[in-house]
Amino acid sequence: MMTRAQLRKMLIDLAVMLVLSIMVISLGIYISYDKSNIREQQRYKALFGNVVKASSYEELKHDLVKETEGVNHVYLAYDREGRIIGYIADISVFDSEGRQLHSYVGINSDGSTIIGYKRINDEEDPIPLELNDIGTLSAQVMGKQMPIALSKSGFEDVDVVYSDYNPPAGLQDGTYYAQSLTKDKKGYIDYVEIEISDGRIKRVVWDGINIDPTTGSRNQASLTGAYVISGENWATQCYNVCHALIELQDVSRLAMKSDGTTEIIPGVTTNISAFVDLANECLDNSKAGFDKDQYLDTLCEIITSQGVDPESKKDSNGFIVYPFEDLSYFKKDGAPDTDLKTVYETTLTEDELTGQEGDDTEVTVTPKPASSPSSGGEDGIATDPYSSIISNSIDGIPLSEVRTFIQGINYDMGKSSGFITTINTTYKFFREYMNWIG
Amino acid sequence: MIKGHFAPFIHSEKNAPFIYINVLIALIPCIVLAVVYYGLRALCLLFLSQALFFFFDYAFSRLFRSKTINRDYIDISSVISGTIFALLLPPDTSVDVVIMGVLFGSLVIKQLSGGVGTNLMNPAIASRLFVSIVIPGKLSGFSEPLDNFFKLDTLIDFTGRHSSMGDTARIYAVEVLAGNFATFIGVGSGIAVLIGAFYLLFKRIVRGYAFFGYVIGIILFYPVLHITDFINGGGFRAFVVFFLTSGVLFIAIYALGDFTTMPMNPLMRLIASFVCAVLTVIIYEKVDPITGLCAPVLLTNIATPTIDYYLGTLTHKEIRNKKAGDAL
Repeated sequence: MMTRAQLRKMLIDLAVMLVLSIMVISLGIYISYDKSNIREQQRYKALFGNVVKASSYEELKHDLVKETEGVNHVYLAYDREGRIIGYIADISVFDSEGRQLHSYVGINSDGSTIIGYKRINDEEDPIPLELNDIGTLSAQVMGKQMPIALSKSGFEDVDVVYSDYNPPAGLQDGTYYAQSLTKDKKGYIDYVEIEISDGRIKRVVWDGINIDPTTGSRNQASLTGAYVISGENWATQCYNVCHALIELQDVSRLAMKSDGTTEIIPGVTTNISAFVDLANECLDNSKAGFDKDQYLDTLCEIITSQGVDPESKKDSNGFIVYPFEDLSYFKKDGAPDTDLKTVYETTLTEDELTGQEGDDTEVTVTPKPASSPSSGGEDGIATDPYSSIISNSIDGIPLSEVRTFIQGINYDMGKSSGFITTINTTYKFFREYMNWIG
Repeated sequence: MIKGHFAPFIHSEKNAPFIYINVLIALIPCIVLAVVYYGLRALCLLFLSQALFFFFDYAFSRLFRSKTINRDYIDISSVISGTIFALLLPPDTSVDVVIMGVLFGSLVIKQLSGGVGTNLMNPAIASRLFVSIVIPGKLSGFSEPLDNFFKLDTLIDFTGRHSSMGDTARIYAVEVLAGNFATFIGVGSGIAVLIGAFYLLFKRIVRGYAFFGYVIGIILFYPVLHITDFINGGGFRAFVVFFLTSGVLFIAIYALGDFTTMPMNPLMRLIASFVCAVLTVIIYEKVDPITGLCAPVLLTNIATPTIDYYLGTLTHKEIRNKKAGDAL
């Protein structure tokens, strides 16, 4: 057996080894901690850089992450000042055949809007989605609020909002459009498109096209970081403004102040004067039955009258990208007159557009009940987003909560379901998490 | 007279408890590393593994070999096996994995082959390979070091955590030295293992034949197998990272330093360890890291009785039987 001297020596050895180990490991941590952090951030940037571009990332440690089915991890994205600019949710969902879709979903800082998407492609048995399919699906939800559902009725980019407000009287159904006739300092020409159905504002799009054809729309530029404004990115703010107009049904209710800002739309700090002017023009056009096609025809005629081929001024999406500020049509006391309807009715109708003057179709202006919830099914398809029947849920989410309807891949639920469930799983997590953080 | 005297037998005044306690002391840097980097869950895994190994060994020997053992003898080698087994686990391992591994190592590998000093294979290494083969899905929870000291939920997460080992191609030199990257809980730092190795060599607890045979085998054979990497550049860095972080140093000192399962003859111990190193280098990148480390050790263990037989070296059991015969 061991002698007392041996035991004493062993205890000394034990103490020496313990102290030595602690010293060596502490030194190791001290000299490697920064490197470890740098390496971790590099890894995060490689993983999430094209989902949510941020200065640094940090994994969210919260019980909700483990408790929410389908959520593997959630990461916070910070800017240089350490402010949260968004989240990245690592989501795995399975379809009915047990096939998997593993994705990163980028969400804005208030946990409501999708700002990035990336498929991981590490699934053992993946849901068959081509790269093009993923591109198609993610383009449909970018800048949109969660949750989402597939629209069977063919509406794209439809925001279903349950408004208690009445719209202005006299709105005629159809799609109305107005674009700024001058470019802003960065070369963007703003446009607003409003769809009126049953006498109510049902869809609003606001974006800007750059006169430089190599530059994307303002919406795209803000998502890629090429167009930066203070506060939320422009796409998010734009979405919130459009959403507010659908909800409030009248431009005047946006309560724009004299400096062009508003305080009633959460997260919106940008100047909305261009939007207000163009939206008012759209609504005026609606009341007058001057629809998008007529508006664009008028613009084309004006361009033609200047000896320019209008087709050469259209971009790939059919938008007219042409600065009108130098044209005499729009000079009125030095300020541009954007009332194209006047131009349409006076100047141009005297020439070749006279025939259209009498083309006033019968207009039905039917105010819709204030609340118009949608119907849908557990399969994720909203059969008619505007019907008055409340039925099922989508991915366990009541249909009344659905904020965005998409067309998916040719309205095919089979192909789109994994993606939709991914977004809705993300929504379920953030619904709880945002409530938790108050 | 001879009742209760077990292997290892070496010709010195150092008895088995003395040797085992010193091995435990040598393991302290790895244990401290595990607890500092992975917190309470590493401590729990270590304690559970040690306690279970000790309990199963003790209970089995009392139940089935009560007539041939010394009741006063405490088998500290069980605690060492438990420690080595736990140090080779990923940090986010659940307790059921530990129980399964220890049951296999203690009962199947150690007790069924005759108990302490007579086992054919290293129980800790065999246990580790066993759980890796049987339940691989539960051994992939490699969280980052210094993640959350008080995290304990992984111990009872029986579904198994999934996070990758640190990518050694991307880690910095200081992280290599400190073992500050996601890997097995106690083997990531070559420095910590070397402190223990130097302690055992300095105290002459191990004689170094196996350790040096294995290390020389790695140093000589790795460049041969990766000659193109060395020519194209980057081969040396990859070698240093492999040498310090893969666990080969840990295996060299704590698996091949085992007296019971390695050849008795010093030269053959050197050669067997060298061959073990060559096998490790060959298979390491073709299989998962644990198989790459453990399978060559177990093959060497299996070959040991044959080596001892042809060299005419007495096995531990034969020495014990011979002593028993002499005494009678």
